Parts: sequence; structure tokens; C-alpha cells
Amino acid sequence: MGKLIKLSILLTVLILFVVVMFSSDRRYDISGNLKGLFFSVKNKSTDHRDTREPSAQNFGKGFSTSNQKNLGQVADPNYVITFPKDHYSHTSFDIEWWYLTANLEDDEGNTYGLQWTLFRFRNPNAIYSNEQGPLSLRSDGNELNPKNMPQTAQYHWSNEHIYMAHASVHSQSKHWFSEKFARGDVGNAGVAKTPLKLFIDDWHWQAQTANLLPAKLTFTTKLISNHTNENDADQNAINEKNANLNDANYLSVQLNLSSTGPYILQGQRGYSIKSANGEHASHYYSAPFIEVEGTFTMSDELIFSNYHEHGEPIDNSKINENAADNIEKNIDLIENKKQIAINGNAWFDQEWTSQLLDQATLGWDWLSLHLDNGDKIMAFQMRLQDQPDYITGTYIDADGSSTTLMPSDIELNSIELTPVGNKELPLNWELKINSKRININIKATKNDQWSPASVAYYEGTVAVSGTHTGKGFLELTGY
Amino acid sequence: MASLVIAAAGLSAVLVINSSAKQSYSSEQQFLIPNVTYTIVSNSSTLKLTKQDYSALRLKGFYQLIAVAQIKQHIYKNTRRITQRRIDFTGIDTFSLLTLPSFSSPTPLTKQISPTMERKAEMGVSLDGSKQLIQQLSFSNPTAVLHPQLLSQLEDAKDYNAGDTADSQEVEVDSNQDIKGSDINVDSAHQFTTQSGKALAKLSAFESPALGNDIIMDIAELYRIYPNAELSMLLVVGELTKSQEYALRKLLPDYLQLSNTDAGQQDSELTSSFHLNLMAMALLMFVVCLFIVVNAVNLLLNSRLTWLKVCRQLGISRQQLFIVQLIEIVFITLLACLIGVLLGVELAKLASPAVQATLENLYSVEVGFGKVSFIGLLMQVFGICLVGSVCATLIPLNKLNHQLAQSKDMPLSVTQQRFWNRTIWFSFSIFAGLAYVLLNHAQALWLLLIATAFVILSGCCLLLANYPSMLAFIQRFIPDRFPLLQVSSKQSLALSGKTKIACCAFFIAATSNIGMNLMVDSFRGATVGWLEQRLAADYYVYNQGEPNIVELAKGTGVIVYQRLENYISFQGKEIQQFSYPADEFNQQAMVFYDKSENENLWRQFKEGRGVLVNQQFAFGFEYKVDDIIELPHPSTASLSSYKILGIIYDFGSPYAQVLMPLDMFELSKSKCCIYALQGPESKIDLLREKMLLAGFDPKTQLLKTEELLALSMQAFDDTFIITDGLNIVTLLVAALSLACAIIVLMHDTRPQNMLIRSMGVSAVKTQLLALFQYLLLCFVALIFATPFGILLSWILIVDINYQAFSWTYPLIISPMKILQIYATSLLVVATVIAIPIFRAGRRPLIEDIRWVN
Repeated sequence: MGKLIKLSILLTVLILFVVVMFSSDRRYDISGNLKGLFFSVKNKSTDHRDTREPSAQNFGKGFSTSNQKNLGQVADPNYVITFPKDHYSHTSFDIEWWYLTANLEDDEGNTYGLQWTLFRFRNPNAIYSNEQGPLSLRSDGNELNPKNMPQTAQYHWSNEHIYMAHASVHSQSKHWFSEKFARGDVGNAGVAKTPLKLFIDDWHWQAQTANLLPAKLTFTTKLISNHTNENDADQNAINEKNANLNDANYLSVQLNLSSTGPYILQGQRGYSIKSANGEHASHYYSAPFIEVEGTFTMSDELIFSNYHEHGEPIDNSKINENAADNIEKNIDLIENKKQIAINGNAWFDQEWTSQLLDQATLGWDWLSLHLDNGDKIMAFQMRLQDQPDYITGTYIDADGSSTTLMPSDIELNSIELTPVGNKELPLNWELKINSKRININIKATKNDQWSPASVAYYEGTVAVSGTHTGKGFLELTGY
Repeated sequence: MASLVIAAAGLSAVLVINSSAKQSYSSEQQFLIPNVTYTIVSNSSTLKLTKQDYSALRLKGFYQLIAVAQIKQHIYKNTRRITQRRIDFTGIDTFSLLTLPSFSSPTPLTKQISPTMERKAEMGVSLDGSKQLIQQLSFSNPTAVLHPQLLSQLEDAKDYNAGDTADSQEVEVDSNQDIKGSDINVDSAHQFTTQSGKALAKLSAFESPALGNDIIMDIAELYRIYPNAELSMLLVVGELTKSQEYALRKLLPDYLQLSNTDAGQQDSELTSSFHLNLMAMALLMFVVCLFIVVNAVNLLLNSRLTWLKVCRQLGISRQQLFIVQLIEIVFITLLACLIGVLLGVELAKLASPAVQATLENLYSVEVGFGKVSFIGLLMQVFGICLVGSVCATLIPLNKLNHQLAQSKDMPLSVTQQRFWNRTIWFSFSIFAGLAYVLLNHAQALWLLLIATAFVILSGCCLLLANYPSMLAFIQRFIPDRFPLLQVSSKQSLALSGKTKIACCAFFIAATSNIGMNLMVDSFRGATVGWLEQRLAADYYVYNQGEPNIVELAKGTGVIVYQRLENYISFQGKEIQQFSYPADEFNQQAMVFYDKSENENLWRQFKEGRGVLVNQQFAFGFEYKVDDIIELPHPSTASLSSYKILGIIYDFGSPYAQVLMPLDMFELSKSKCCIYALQGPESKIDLLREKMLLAGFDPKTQLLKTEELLALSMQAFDDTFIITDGLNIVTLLVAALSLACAIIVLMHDTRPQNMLIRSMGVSAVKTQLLALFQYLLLCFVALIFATPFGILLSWILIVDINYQAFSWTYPLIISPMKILQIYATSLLVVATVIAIPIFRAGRRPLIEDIRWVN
């Protein structure tokens, strides 16, 4: 028995040794895919982050470059914005966006809010093998045609630009939202001239000329939430075929955009100051007078832009020119679909800067309003660390004349915080512009208009009441 | 104990190798990306997949596409190469991954979990994760991912090379080279570089069975370090609807091809036969080890018999004695398993480069490292070993039961003997019948392997039933002049009754040895013959892409035959469509398995009315010679009917293949990688110079036929090293089993030996006689094993190979090979059993006399 006991002790020690040895061998075993990989890599790299600052308090930090010497071009108060040149990319600046928001309505009076944005980020730290300069320098209508492509460009897979795009459509009960990413120099995203084209994959803003407008906007986005109540369902049940599409996964949008007024240069001739000390500023212009008409097509399957072409080699230049038309033709081929005609007003912004998103930026609140009398208002509140909030704006008369509103001219106050999911958001505002006899209340038409993007923010329709009535859009970042 | 350790080690090594290989196939071609359903590749040698193709397809809305670029390169450290095999560097367009549904799915705010929950959720598709991703986008700190084992191999190689070893290769680095990666934050511990000195991104270990000998990174990072990397494929992630697939196929230009990733599945099916073979060998080794356990326990109990009898006299029940013995066995098994599994895991690590290379060469698949839970493996191996060893212990315990019940060993009665004989014959007929039925009717590979086991077991029964008569038959041939030999052979007869199990173990080892050796020998012979005939040209060039060798050879006087290839879909499976020149010279070079009786075979082939198919095609799609098949034209893709004119051998290829005349192919539509060259040495030299000028490396790309043959056969031999190793181990284990039995039997033969030695026969002679007895037993077992070995080899070639690979080859029974196996087996056995015999021989005679008295 003594031998048995000794043997048992030996075995126990051995087992303990083995267990300790193998349990100490910790590896990243999350899942066998890239998702797990990214999470593990990111978890590792963010382990050392300063956890004292909650993420909602440093919206600009995620974008800011750690190396100040790599900062992009600084906005210049003396710069004169000219068109169509300034519709194109300003690649020496760190951040730029082409931003469309639209308040739309269908024939039955249902309202929709639509947002389509193309962002460009310059990342000076990015590795890239491009020795020919950034994409936009070579951007023209034929850029994607292999025959016209320099042979060496085959090997470049990135330049210092990253493109991101968001498409969001809200009805009262549904939210369609999609996000896209692309890197510069691959050819699937960028800004092309003559005719002007903003594109990322199959999302295209296709102008007819070198000017921004008139243009066709086409994109497809995906349903992410559906709160259709019973009444809506009954209404839809009238058409059985359409009722099946109540949960249709995809919304294909084709909009014809035309301008009925001038471009408005925000701030001082397009130089927009965002903070009291003037350290935050951008080049910023808007197109607030845009009329929209178009179609929403709901379907269960994705619509491609070139269904009807058969076996021909890819000719990018041809395809890109006709992309919007092709989508229209191809929609006809889809059997189970529901089409809605829509129209309304849209607001377009283009802004480029290297001095907006830094360590001090907590976020901002932005409003664009279409008053029923034809006037337009832009109001902007910048929230900065250890600095008072900085409020600016522009009042645009229906005839296109505009007045820049300095902090002393405008009062913008959040009336209450509304709980939405796990956040409390200021969805109810009071805006006063004494010089224009404006005292209005602005309220979100739907609480959950949060865009759950990689960089999430609030972008949704609002209704205006008070001395004036109207509608518009509210953007909240850094919450 | 040692045998159990060997059994456990073998079993666990095979389990580890199997699991790592299996996990790799399941994730073939996915590069850590889940749910890849299709791939798009170029099928032309002139037109390659480009970034423009990719962006054009994305512009049309196919954003489920992910670009993948690959290059095989060595890794360097301080200008020294530290890798033995080239690493597969893979670059993935991570940007296109970011918004794929499988990677991120936007959730409305009202449905998002609270921040506290979010922090708790380690891996949820959360907002936090997305925020982290946007930071990853900056790629200011690029990371490359590789398997922890590869990382540790690189680390080891780096440390090893740091010691300035002789075999490390000096590489010149252009000092003017712009090292772009210098500003990248590279961990000082991982300063690996490319040949040109560009620093690799920080290497991050990531445990995934999909990772093998490769390093995965963002595509931009790959192009930074290797600007000449080629875009190898576009992956389609997620299911495509029928209309989407249709649209995609229609949109692709001619040189791009959409294929279902089921190809990986095919590889997986193919390699399952490898797993089964490996598993079967491991189980064989395990079973043979158990024979040793039976003998070892027998030996143990025999030595304890006196004490056990004393225990019985003291009133301890037989049951209690058995339980104690069994508990001891369980503990010994556990200890053996622990050591065995540790050894096995190490063995698998040692073997993994060889196994990986074998699998990669044989099946063109990537092999990962796999991840095996030690505890799980231990439990598995312990479970199997416990059942095995307890069963193996029961036989000697049963014998002990009899020994404890009786005061003397009683020989079997005539009735018992008859019953025993009948049982053996009955078992033989059952096993043989089952084997016959299974071999004729079973299709599944595992059933065929069971049938193989039945064949071997029926052989065992036949051996046991015929041992005495066979030995008696041999005895007749021993002349009366050698009385000692006669005595010895008579003793063998007596011994055969007592060494049944050990002899069976040896029989199994010998049968499998003969079977495997004959199979490998036949395969080798067939391959050599096939290669010698097929490699009829003087030189061969392997070159993918530009410039075309035909153009280069113009003016040199070298005749170039190019092999143009297409990959087409036939009955839903991807097959190869190759060109074959139909001139007299190449007609002679063709090796047929079966061909049409038609005398105009080659004329019909030349006219494009008929095709040649390989065995893989004929067996896989169940076609015979003269059948009509519909195939797309190699250049116009229009469907036409073709007659199968012949079925050809195509050893080692996993693909079904159709050969069509060269003039039906167009260089612009087909790929060309292999060129056969014919011409005198002086003209070849001229081409060699031209190749050098065109940037080729004639040393590696232009191969003389003899060199190619030698290389091919080297690869062949390397492939079967594992089989050879396992064969020897099995033989050794069988010999050990026999040695254990001999130690037990030494007791039984002591009176006879004592008598012979008392009669004046020297100790050496007695020892030699004992050796003769056992070798005679082995020889008889070998004689029985020979037909069963040949049968086994035939089953492996005709049934198992056919089922697993869809090709067969003729069985070559080489008497020399069989004699060689006889000699090896007897030598191994003689070496092992000589030890106990000579130990017994050194015992003084007086001890034996005292013992008998």
C-alpha cells in the first residue's frame, strides 16, 4: 500500500505540474476570424489608454494625430472659395466632408429624414507605397480605367487618405443605415472632376457638370430597425405583395437634386471660426436651397448597377457614367419590390479643416433649418474642454442673402435631456436670434435617430415651432 | 509501462497531427475570414487580377468582395535568412472587411446594451468594438498576425542564427535602399526584415487553426514590404443569391473566374484518407502495444505467482487480489499516458514540418498548427489506453485465476483443444466473410479500412489454426543428422501454443509491413515508369507569367511544347483542361490505363473529336473509354461533345483532368506554366543565356529531365518517410512483444534446456537453438503474413486508393522486396529477442537443476 500512496502522490504532483504549465500559456483564443483578431489587437493596444476620461468626453481625440508636426494644412482666413474648384478634395487638409441632409415626404404625407455623407480623413502616419501623390491629383473621369492607369499604380494599395461614408434614412417607424470604408488609391472611392462625382463603392453623387448641382444621388442602405405599429401594418396589408416587404432588407435611393438658390459661404467668406480663441476653424460652405425628387425602392435583395451587361470586360469609365441609369433599369428587373415617390428639401455642406478635431474637442451640436417662409438657419455650438461653448450661425433669407451670426447674436439652449437607449440626449432646443425676431422651439421628430456608425453620432429630423415654423436637421456629436 | 508510453505517445502524436491538419482544411482559403463562399481568380497567364478589377466590381455594388494578395518569401534578421521554408505572406484589404455584416452590424441606440454591460461583454459586436476599429483604421501601428508556434519558431531561429552558425545564409542588402518601415513602431524583439531590409510590422501571435506557415497583414502593409506582390484572389464573403451570382458571373471579364469554395471541401475529402491512414497506423501500433501489455502483465503475474499463492493461503480472496492488480494497472496506465501524451505532443511538433510539407505538396493545401487541448487529449488517450490495458490485463488474470485454482498446469484436454480449433476456424470464416462482403460492396473509406482490419484478423486466425501443422511440416525437412535442430523445432511447436498472442502481434506487424512496402514499392515503380515515359523532353521550364518561353526560344532552335491550362466547371466540380501535343514524339510519351481499341485514336484526338481523361476524371465521374462527354471549348467556351479516347495515369494529382489538342487552346485565354523543351545542349545553352537576360533564373526554372525526375522521386520518398517510420516502430513493438513472451516462456523451457545442457551441449549452442526456435516461429508467421500482405497491398491500391484519390496503379509484387522485408523483420526480431535469450544462457546450469528439483 505504501507504494500505492507514493505513486498517487507522484501522479498528483505530475498532474498539478501539467495543469499549471498549460494554464500559464495564455494566448489570444477569441475566435478564428479577423473580427476576433481585431478585437484582440485593439484590446491590447488600448490597454494602456487613459481610462480616466470617458469616451463621450473626447470626441476629437479619436481623430487627432498624436504628432503635431504631421498636422494638415491650417484653414486660412484669407482664402477665397471658388467653384467648382472647391467642390473637389482639399487633400492637404486632415478632414473633409460632403454632407447632405434632406427632409422628405411621400405622396401619402409620410415624412422621411435622409442623410448621405462622404468623409475623407488624411492620416499622415499611414503607411503607403504611393510615390505619385494623393489620389485626387490624378482624379478625373477616366481614373478607374485600367488602360489609362500607369502601370506602377497597380502596386499601390493605399495613400494617406481614408474614405468613410454614411447613408441613413428614417421613416417614423424604420431606420435604414449603412456605413462604408475605403482607402485612397484603390479606385473605389474618391472625388472625380468633370463631371463631378463623389463615390464610394456603388454610392454615387453624380453631377451633370463640374458643378455640384444638378446631380443624381444613388445609394442602397440596409434596414437596421423596424418599429412598425399595427396600424401601419394594416395599411400595408392593403397590398399583399407590399406587405411582404414590410421587413424588406434594402432601401435603394435615387434622388434628383437641383439647386434653387446660391451657395452660402459660412463664417467670414467661408472661413468658419469654431472657438473663442480662434484655434478651431474650418473652410465651410453650404447649399441650403436644394429641391429633391426621387424614388425609394424597398426590396429583399441588393440591386446592382449593371445587371443587364453580359460578359463584357469591365469598362469602368462607361459604367461609372451610367451607374445611376443602370440602377434605374435594373430596379425594373426586381420582382418583389415597393417603390415610393418622394420629394422635399435638402441641405448640403462641404467643410474642410485640420483644426476641428483635436484633444480639446468634446463634440458639437449643429442645426440646419428650413423655415416655412423660405428662410434658412444654420446654428452651431462647439463644446470644448475647459472652454465655454462657442455658438455661431448663419441666417439665410429666402432670396439667398445671408447674415453671419456671432455668439452675441444668437442664443441656443437645450431645454431638456431625453433618455434614448443608454444615453441622455438634448433633443429639445430653444433658439433665439433677436435681430431676426426669431424665438423658436426645435424638437426631434423621433427620439432614436442615432447613427450607430464606427464613430457614432445623432443625425435626425426636427420640427420647428414658435415665432416661426418649419423643419430641419439636428446633429449631435460627442455624446 | 514502456509499451503503454509508446502506445500513448503514438496515439496522441497522431491525434495532434490529425486535428491540426483537419482544422486547417476546414478553414482553407479563408485567411481568418469567416463565411467565404466564392473566390475570384484569374485563369489567364497573361491577364492578371488587378486592383482595377477589384475597384470596378466594388463600384458596381459587389462590396462583399475582399482583395487578397500573396507572396512567398523568406524572413531575414540582420541580413541573415532565418527561415528554412518560405513564409506565405498574405495581405487582406481590411477596409472592405470593416462594414461586412459578419464584422460589424449597426445596432440602433435603443437596442444597445448599457456601458457597464458593454464592458462586461468581452466579445459582443458592441459600439466599443466599433470605436476600437476606427482607431485600428489609422494603421499607424501596423500589425501582422501569425500563429504563436510560427512566432516562436522565428524567435528560436533568430536566436539560433544570432550564434553565427555555419548554415546561415548571408544576404547582401543594398545600402542605398530606402527602408520605409524604419519609422514603424517595431518591437525590439521582433526586428525581422525582408530580403531588401524592409522591417516587418510588429508580429502579433494569434491562436487560430487557420494559420499555418503564413503571416497575415493588411494589404497596404504587404505592398509596402513587397511592392511586387500579386493580387491572388478576391474572396466573396457571405451567401450570394442566385441573381447576385448570375450578375457577378456575367460581369466578370473572360480572364476572371468565379469559383465556389467547395474546392476546399474537396481537398478536405481527399485528405481525410490521409487522416484515416495515419489513424489506422496509430491504432495498429496501439493494438500491437497492447499485445506487449498482455505479455508484460503475464510476466509480472508469473513472477508474483508464489506471493499470490501465499496471499491466497492467508485467506485473501481471489477477487481482492485481482482488484489490487487492476488498480495497479490503472495507475500505471495513467502515468504512462501522461508521459506518452507529453512525448506525443513533442513528437507531433517534431513531425509537423514533415507532415505539413507532405500535405502541402500532395494536396496543395495550407496546413496550420492546430490547437489541441492537453487535458482533452489526455482524457482521450487515457480512455483508450485504459480500456485497452484493462482488456489486455484480463487475459493474464484469467490465466492467473486458473493457476491459483490449480496446483499444477494442466494441458488442454482433447475436447478443449477441438473446441479451440473450431472457434479459430469459425472466427476465420466470419472475419474472411465480412472482409469479402465489405470489400465488394462498401463504398465508404472507413468501411474499407474496417474490412482491411478483418482481413488481418482472419490472417491471425488462419495462422493460429495452422501453426502446429506448419511447424510439423517444416520439421519434416530437418534431417536426422541434426537432432538438436529437431528438438528445437519440436520445442517451437510446443511454444507456438503458448506464444499465440505474441505471434499474432508479429503477424500483424509483418502483414502490414509487407502490405505497405509493396504498396509504396508499386506506387514508386508506377511513378518512375510514368514519369520516365511522360517526361520525354530534354528540359522543362516552369514559369508563371511573362515573358512567354515560346517567344524567348524563337531563333534558338529549341523546340518548345507548351502546356496550356484552363480550369473549367464540369458537373458542378472544378476540373483541369490541359493541352497535349499530339505529335509522334508525345504520342509515345503517353501512358494509358485504358484506351480505345480505335486505331485512329491520335487522329481523332488531333481533330478535336475526342479527348483523353485522367483516372481521377474517369473514376470520379464514372466514365469509361468511348463514352461521350460534353465540354466547353478551351478558347471559345462553346459546349461540344467529345469521345473519351483513353484514360491516362496521373499520379498524385487531386484534380480530374481532360487533355485536348494544343491547337484548340489560345494563349490569351489560357494559362501556361509548364514548357517542355527539346534540342541539343548547345541550343539549350543559347536559350539559357536568353532566359538570364530576360530576368529568369535558369538554375531553378530550367530543369533537365533527369534532375526533374530525381527531384520528383526525392519528393516521393520524402512523402513516405512517415509510413516507413511507422512500419519500423510497429515491427519493433511486435519484436518487443515477442521478447516479453520469451521471458515468460523461459521458465517453461528451463527443464528441457537443463536436460540438453546436462547432455553436454554448450551454453552458446543452447542459446542459438533457442534463438532458432523463435526465429522459426517468426519465419512461419512471415510465410503466413506474405499472402495477407500482398492481399493488403492489393486492397490499399485497388480499393482504398481508388476510393480516396480516384486513381489506381498496377500492383508490383517484387520477390526481392519481400525477401528484404523477411530479412529486416527477422533481423529486428533476432536483435530484440537475443537479449533475454542470452541473459538466460548466462545462468549457471546448476541453478536450473536446482530449480527443477
